[in-house]
Amino acid sequence: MSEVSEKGLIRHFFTRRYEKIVDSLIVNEIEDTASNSNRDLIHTITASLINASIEKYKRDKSASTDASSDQGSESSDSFWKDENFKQEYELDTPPSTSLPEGDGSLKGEHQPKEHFLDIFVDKLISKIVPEKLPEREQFSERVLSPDLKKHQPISASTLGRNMGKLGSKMTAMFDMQETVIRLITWRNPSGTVTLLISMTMLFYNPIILLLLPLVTLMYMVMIPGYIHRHPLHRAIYPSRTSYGRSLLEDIASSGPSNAWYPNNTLVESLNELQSGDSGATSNFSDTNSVSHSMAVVMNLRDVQNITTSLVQVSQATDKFIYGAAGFKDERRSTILFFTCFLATGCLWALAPYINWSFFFSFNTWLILICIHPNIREHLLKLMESDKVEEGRKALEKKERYDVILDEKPEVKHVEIFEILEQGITPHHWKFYKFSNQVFDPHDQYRKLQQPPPGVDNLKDIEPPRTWYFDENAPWEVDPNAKKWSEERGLNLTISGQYLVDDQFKRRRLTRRVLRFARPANKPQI
Amino acid sequence: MSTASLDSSNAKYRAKFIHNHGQKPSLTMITPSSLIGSLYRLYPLLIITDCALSNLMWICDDLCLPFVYLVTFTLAVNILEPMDSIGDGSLWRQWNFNQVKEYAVNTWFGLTSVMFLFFSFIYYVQSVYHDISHTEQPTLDDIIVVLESVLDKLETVRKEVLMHGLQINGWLSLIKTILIMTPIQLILMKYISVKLYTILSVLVLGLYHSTWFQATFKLFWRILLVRKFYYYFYYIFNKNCISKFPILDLFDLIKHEDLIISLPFTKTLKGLEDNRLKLFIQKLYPQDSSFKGLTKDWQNKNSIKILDVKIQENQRKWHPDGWTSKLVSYERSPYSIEINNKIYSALAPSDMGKLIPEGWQWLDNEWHCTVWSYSNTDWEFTGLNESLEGCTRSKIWSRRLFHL
Repeated sequence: MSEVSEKGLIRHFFTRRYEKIVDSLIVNEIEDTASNSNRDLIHTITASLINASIEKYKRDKSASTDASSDQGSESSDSFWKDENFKQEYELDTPPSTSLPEGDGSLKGEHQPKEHFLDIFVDKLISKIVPEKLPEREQFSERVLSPDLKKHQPISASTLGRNMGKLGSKMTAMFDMQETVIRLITWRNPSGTVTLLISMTMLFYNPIILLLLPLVTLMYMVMIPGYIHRHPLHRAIYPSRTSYGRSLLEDIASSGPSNAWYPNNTLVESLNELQSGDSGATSNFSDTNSVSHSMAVVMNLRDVQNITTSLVQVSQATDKFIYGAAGFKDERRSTILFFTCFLATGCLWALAPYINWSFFFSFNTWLILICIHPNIREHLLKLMESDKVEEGRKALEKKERYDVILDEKPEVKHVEIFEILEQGITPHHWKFYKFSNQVFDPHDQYRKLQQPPPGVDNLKDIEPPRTWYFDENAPWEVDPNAKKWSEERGLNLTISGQYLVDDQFKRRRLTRRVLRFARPANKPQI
Repeated sequence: MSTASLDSSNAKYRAKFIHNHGQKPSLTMITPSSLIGSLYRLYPLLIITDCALSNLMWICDDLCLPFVYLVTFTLAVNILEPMDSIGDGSLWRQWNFNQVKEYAVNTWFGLTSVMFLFFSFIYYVQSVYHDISHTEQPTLDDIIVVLESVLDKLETVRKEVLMHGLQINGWLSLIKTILIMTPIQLILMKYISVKLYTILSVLVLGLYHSTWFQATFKLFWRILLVRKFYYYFYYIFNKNCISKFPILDLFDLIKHEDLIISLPFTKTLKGLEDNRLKLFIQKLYPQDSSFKGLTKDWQNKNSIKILDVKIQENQRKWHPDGWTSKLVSYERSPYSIEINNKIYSALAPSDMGKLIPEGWQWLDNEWHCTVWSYSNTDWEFTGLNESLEGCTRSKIWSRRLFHL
């Protein structure tokens, strides 16, 4: 027995040691910033692979150490034990739990083993991302409060686990979303009218907004909970066929023939199963599990849809912020600004004289009536008619000349050095290069006995990016060679416009460059 | 070094900007010690001025501070209201408890704001002096940097004050301004209380030099409607050197003595017929020559009168369509003639020749035109080439008439 424990101890020691060595190696690799990024990435991935395999090995050996994180979920499970039915739970629980704690290996076996890939991804993320992530607030406000630091390392498996848990819980949220869509699209006319009436009440008496959570808590949460436990028996006798229709629903769906009904095949089949013969009870648990997993998948699909629409919304917002509102098209943005300014001014002035309750309720009714499928069709037809198009075109044509973009452009000056090389005699100079470099004796290119980067013709020189040469201002020779040589700390002989050394002489040419505006902002992708 | 090599590897070689912040010789050795001393004593004042200007221009680090100051300033104005009412006695005549309560609250807020402003100013000044005395002594270059910053800000403030608003030149426009502004002011005072007037003034003064206000100004200046309004008032106060109506034709032009030049009717010209006379004068004075040395005395009966018609064709560059002859209503017309530094509208050259006054004949066979000369939005010449600066352009069509 002692031998076994000794062996285990030694193995444990070696594992730790090995891990430390590998870890230090990895840290060294990552801190080595001089190497290029590709090699870095490969190193990081390899290191993570090694680390993940070690981790996997460690976890297989000592699963007990990891159990701590799942204690929270277990304690939350105990929350659902009803105090009125203690005896039932005590009977259900397996005898192993009554054993004294400390034998963690049993617990560990119940845990689903983490997949190697999960560990690998976790390791990879932890290597790439700094372990101590700064809190969001520290980014924005540079507030360094020690209480705010909650170093939770980012982990793919935790994230995935959370998503899995949330996936099944989000049914209510998506049901809510679906209900709202049904109400807005008039699929449930009485519901839509109810919504409109309650909105009107809300607009006329905004305090209802405060009361709503309380009423919801009382009558949507607590009363159903109470009724669930203590059912108030109401006998409902279902009839085989229903006679008569509601006027409101027929108006809204323009008669029973055109009514839109959702395709409820799944619900119907479920109903059939439930209300069918007694043999179906054995299948019931199956259907339940099917619908449960289906719900999870449906929720995930809805999450995906939401993220897709979020991406679309963010793209549209980017387009607006950097396009129409970002002066990409100066004329349109100017008009937009002017319109917004006028609207602000008008609203400011008129706000006290407007009956906002009426305004909002009336508009809500109007909008929802316009959204009604039948009316919307007519409206769309009306909007696509030629007259509207013609009017818009005429307006656009008129708008072309209501903004003048005649601001003075930004002005700067650029420089270039004309370098001349000494010929056979001291007074003979021949052209060498037009360059950005002064090409003095300390110049690196000159030390390497190479010509400096540049061009042979003044026409080949381009202005800096986004700038234009002023076509009315040609290149001019800078007559004050002393000034620019002093600014550069050059200590060479000055001869007229030129700065002369033993082999070369150069003079500075300057030219005016113009720019109407800086390039418009672009979203960071 | 690396950027230069990158540039050379590309097909395009780009020039570099001139940076004006090159090496400057240190000022310490060349500045007299007495000047350094006084500059050092001035340093705290410079820092305080710089801070005040940054607050005024809303370019300080903490943008919430100027906002708080602005609000406290407007609250401080609240003291004015009770003073108004006490002054004319209305407060005591119409004793109303609620009103008095409101006045009391307003006055309390006003006084607190005044105290807050006063103490925060004193505290700031004190802290500046304290910090300077307890930290490392500033170098001369430090002082110069702050001085330059103050001067730059003052220059910006000056420019922004003078750029907008109606400029008053001369006594006549001053009298006009007084005559127009006084009734406006009186009407304002009738409907707006002193308190509101002061609050509005404080708000405008406090916000005027902020980038938001200035950028809004600039954006509004792009709107044609705003400009039309501005120039409508501008020409009330200033002499308008543009006359849009009537559109001048040749009949109007021959009435302008300044345009007509007299050529002495010499003996050599006397025997010549119409057509040969025309050719002779053309030979004597080619179209692009000037009539220098000739008199403008057109009363003389024995002379040939020559009218040199020079019509300017004007165009403006519009954002969507480029160069068009659509011009703004407050500026010159697409075709104009300049007489005695005043610009009149004129007929287009093609229409000008349709009706010729009796006794006059074209001296030149056709219209002669120059190249486009480009100018900025105020028609100030920028050059003969199109550049980003050129928002307007014009060229001159010229043709001469003569009368025996």
